[in-house]
Amino acid sequence: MKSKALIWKELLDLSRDKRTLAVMIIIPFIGLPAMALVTTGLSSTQTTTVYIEVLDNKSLYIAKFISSQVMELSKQYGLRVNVTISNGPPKSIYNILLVIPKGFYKNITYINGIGTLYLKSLVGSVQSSEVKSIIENVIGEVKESVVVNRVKILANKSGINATPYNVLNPISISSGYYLPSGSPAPVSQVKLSYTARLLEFSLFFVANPAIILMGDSVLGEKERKTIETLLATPASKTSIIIGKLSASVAIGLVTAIADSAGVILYLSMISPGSLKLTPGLIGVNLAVSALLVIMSAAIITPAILRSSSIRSAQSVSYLLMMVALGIYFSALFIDFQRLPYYVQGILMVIPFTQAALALQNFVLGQYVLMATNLVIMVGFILLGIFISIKSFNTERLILSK
Amino acid sequence: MVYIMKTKVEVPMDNNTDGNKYVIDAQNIYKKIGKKDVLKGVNLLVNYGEIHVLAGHNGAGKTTFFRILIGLLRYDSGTLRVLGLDPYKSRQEVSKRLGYVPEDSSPYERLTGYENLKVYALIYSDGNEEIAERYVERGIKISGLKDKDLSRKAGEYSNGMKKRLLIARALMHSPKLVLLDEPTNGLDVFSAYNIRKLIKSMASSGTTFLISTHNMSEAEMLASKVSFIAHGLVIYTGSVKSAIEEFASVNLEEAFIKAVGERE
Ligand SMILES: Nc1ncnc2c1ncn2[C@@H]1O[C@H](COP(=O)(O)OP(=O)(O)O)[C@@H](O)[C@H]1O
Ligand SMILES: [Mg+2]
Repeated sequence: MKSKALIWKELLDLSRDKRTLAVMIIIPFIGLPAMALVTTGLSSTQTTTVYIEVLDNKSLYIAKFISSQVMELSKQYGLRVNVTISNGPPKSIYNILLVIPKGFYKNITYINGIGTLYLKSLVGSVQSSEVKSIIENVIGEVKESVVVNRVKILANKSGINATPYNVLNPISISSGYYLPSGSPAPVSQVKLSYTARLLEFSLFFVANPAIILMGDSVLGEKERKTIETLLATPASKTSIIIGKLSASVAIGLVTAIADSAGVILYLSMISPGSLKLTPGLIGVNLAVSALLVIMSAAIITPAILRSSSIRSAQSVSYLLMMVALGIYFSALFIDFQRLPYYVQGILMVIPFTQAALALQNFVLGQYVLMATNLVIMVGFILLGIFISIKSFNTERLILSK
Repeated sequence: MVYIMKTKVEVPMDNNTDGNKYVIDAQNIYKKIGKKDVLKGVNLLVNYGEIHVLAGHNGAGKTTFFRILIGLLRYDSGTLRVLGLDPYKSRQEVSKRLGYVPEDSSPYERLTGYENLKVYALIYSDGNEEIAERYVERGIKISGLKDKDLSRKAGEYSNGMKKRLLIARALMHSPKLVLLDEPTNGLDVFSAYNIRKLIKSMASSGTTFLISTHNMSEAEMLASKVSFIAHGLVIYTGSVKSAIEEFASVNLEEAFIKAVGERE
């Protein structure tokens, strides 16, 4: 077996390039969780300032109620908020302004009146929009208590026996989830499905290292001037390609596992409690990742064999990675199965789609479809290797500059 | 049940030549690279056991011709037999009995000298560890590198050591034919001397060498037969002595200059 000798050589060679390996494994594994720490850390230190201008004396207690509720709710969401109540205009810039005008109290206590509040937020602040929606919710509470009072009064006057809550909520919704098979899905299933989506996104990081390693492995031999002697040995084109693929895939797998662990760590830090991992999902994710690593390396190889230098191979690799990014990023928001047929058709011929679909189909319990996705991935792998061997042209490899 | 035993008829054959008249038999080889006619009808015959030096100026087409001889490049027309086979069609088969050290090549720099030999030994032995070990031992002897150096990464070697390693790697599987493209180019006087000594001693045990050079005094020192190549054509083949006589010169350098001059 000549491939064995070549795999051994590739692994030795790659494993000696400690810095590249470290970068490939450590950056996503440490980098993403670190990013999560920094962003959650920073956003918890920034403060949103709220100014409540009360021009209606009788409404002061409403302003105080809003203030205390907003403070409490914000704390629950991990937001820092500072509320100032005053009867004059603000003297500096605040993120949010709430104005309670003169006559507000009178308007809301009169059965047919409308009290207007003025709520303004400063343009361009992410956090103030979250606080603004908290304020709107608190105002909603105030509104409800006013309505309850009005209903009580009307019910009393007309002598009808009515519970204000029922009058206000004539329809109740009991919602739940179900699987494509029709059986009901527990909330844990929903979390599982959400986790699968995030794993689909992490496939982007899984696909990358093998693509880069494969380019370096083939064109590195050219740039480091080792290819010509290798091609003058009895090593066949097939064994050279298989040797390089196997080594890139082996190292790609190690980095892929580190990368998806990093992504999961990152996501569980920024949205804790909403994820659920089961042994089944982990297993399927590993299988999909392994196939994806092999597939990515296999489909980039024909392009690498046509490149003249590592740099030109890298630009093709980036193109492929952008396609992968497009697919896996949209997997966060899009149900591929719900797209129009012609769009699905286009997406299906992009090999990366199959990996995302395999995960989606697994959490939906559609195991036959999932198996089909995996088989198609194997098909892409074989196709990639076949085209690589057919397009392995020693003359182009030696002469191109 | 009757088994018919198929017996092979043994044809007596010269063990050293596999029944071929020449190690290399190139007739009228043409090669265009891009728009340039690099080889314009090269003829070359190399006999078994020779140290055949292909001497020519830079850009004459030596490297291109070597790459054609090992099957890396396709030739546009002509007929070519290397060890009895067409190298472009039978690259793998030819390469088993061939050793090649390109002009501008390097060992795997992140691998040790020993590992460099081992990888190629495993390729030549088709994964057979025992045979590979024998090849490596032979390679170590040929390289003349010390154990201490063999366990160092080849990237830390001097140019001379790298070249010795490459030559040893190309010779360890006892090929019939060895192609060395400008083997002493860029080496200091000691390394160059050692490499020429190595070539001569390997040739005396029956290996055929085809060596290219642009250095005529090197050709004079090495060649049992010399061919002049200029502008994509082989313009003379003979012994060093007859070349000098033919062109009434004092040395090979003058003979080469005159040979090229006659053509123009
Ligand atoms: N990769 C290449 N691309 C374009 N031209 C080339 C290439 N390789 C060689 N040539 C041309 O072929 C001619 C012969 O080159 P070469 O075989 O390297 O000569 P030598 O080895 O005798 O110096 C040169 O003039 C060069 O211009
Ligand atoms: Mg040359």
